[in-house]
Amino acid sequence: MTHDLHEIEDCFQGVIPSYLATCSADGEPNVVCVSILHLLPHNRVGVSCQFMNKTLRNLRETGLAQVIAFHPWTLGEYRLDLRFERLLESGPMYDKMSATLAGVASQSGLKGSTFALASVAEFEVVSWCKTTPERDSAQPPKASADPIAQLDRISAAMEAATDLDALFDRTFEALACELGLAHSFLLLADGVEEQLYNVASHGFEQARFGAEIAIGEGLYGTAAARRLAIRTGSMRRERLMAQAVARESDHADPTYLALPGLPGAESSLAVPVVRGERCLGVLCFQSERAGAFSESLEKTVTIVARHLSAMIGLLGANAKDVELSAKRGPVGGRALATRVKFFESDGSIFIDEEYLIKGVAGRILWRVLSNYVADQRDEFSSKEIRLDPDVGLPAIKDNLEARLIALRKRLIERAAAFRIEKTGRGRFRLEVSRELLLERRT
Amino acid sequence: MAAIPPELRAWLRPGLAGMIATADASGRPELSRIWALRVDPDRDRIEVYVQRTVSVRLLQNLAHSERAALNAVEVDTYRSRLFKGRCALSAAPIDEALLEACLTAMGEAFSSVGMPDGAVSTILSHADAPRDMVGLVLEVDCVFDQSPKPGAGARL
Repeated sequence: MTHDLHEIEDCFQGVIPSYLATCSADGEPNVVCVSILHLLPHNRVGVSCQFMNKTLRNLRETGLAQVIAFHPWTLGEYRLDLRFERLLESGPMYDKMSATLAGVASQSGLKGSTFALASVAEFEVVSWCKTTPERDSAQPPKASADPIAQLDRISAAMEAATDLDALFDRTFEALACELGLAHSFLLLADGVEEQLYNVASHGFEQARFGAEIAIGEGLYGTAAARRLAIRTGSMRRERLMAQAVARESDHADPTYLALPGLPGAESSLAVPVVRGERCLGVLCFQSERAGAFSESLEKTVTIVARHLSAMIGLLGANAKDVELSAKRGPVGGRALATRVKFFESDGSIFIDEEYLIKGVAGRILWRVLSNYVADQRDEFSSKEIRLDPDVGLPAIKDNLEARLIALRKRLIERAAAFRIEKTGRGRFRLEVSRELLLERRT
Repeated sequence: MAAIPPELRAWLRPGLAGMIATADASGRPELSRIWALRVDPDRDRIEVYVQRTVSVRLLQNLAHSERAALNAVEVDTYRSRLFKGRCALSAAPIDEALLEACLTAMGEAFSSVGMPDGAVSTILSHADAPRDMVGLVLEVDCVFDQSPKPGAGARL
């Protein structure tokens, strides 16, 4: 009988590559380097099979293998004797590993099927042992050992929210307090599920509200597209590859606003917020520590994401109750003019030549700014925004409340000369501190 | 024709990491980390050092079969080569200067990919008699490109 492999769960985060040895029927050993060894249920491990023809031949001939895995904190080596069971080419575990590979490849700028997952080799762990004793002093601090109590406190914090804005803030504060997730943001899907936009951010130097990515793009976009959590624990190499790709792609987009990010992020976790078949968005986390996000943590956050999905449904269903609370002091006088440019083609808005936001959020803002200048109106209702065909909200699932939250936060982040304030049920006000010069371009 | 071409000889230098594997009669493989490596300038022969106390089964397997596989990896690029051949205990004493040079270069390579300073010393010091090395000589008869890419595993 072997010990529970979860005792060495950190070895399965891909921080340090593992080595896999096999042997042919005629006694010829073979060794390959494996970037991530996956911990599977029921005393099993999995290896993604790419570029491993000889290994697979050997496994079919003898069925025996050995892997040496490394603990990222203690640098202890673990020797696992394995028995090959089967090749997985579909199913939940295959989908999960395929999504992880696709997300990492996309994040690194790798396109096409070169790094597509062919299959997963599943092994029974016959026995495992530590080849060298661990250096206990290198152990990182462990989180609370009672995840149920943590979830209870997170859930209670979320349920106290009375609007979406507070829900997002409370969720991130609770995740930081209970699980140590200090750097996080929430991407919400647009109504047609083509784009994700940043609506809430916690712990980053630059919050970057309103930043967008396509569903399917990068680690977070892939998690949304596949509706599966993706975790990576060693982003240094992936980041170097992405930087190299960026250097080769010299097509600067003035409306490009990067997602929030730690400059030295080593670990990333993306957990989709799903309701039925629909992906509402993605909870995103980063850490500067390699291998920071364990499988257990991923499961805990997945439960939080399910709760968040239900809460979004509950609070979002009553659109008139949306709260757009102010977090900034009164704006100043109207001594200077601010030039606002709007581009019809993509809904982008520039303030004094600096990009602010685009898409539906940009069209909403242009709509209220135009009314303010032309009609001296500063009071607006959610209903009139919904009914305005120029805004371009989808007929159903328009996410207007979340878009207004992202827009309000983006205006505060940019310290713009105007902001939006909630004034009542389904109503908001545009507050302007300077004269506005509007310019519309096709 | 030489199994190890000149450019590969130049690549086989201190700073590479890797593993060597042997197998028992049932086909069960056994791995051990290599701590030093050098190529014979005149023959298709690579000498490697492994820690004795963590290589017991690997060494026992040589009594059954001389076949071994050595995977050498350039840590910061994942460029990797697999050498296969006949393996035997080295008759030469442990070259402490070679060992020291390889450990130093390996530490620098590990640091370059974000592993903590002193990682080599840490891993080494965990074993009983950490510097008690065994020299192995691999008579190479074939080499494979094991870098992660389409076509990996191709014979060179």
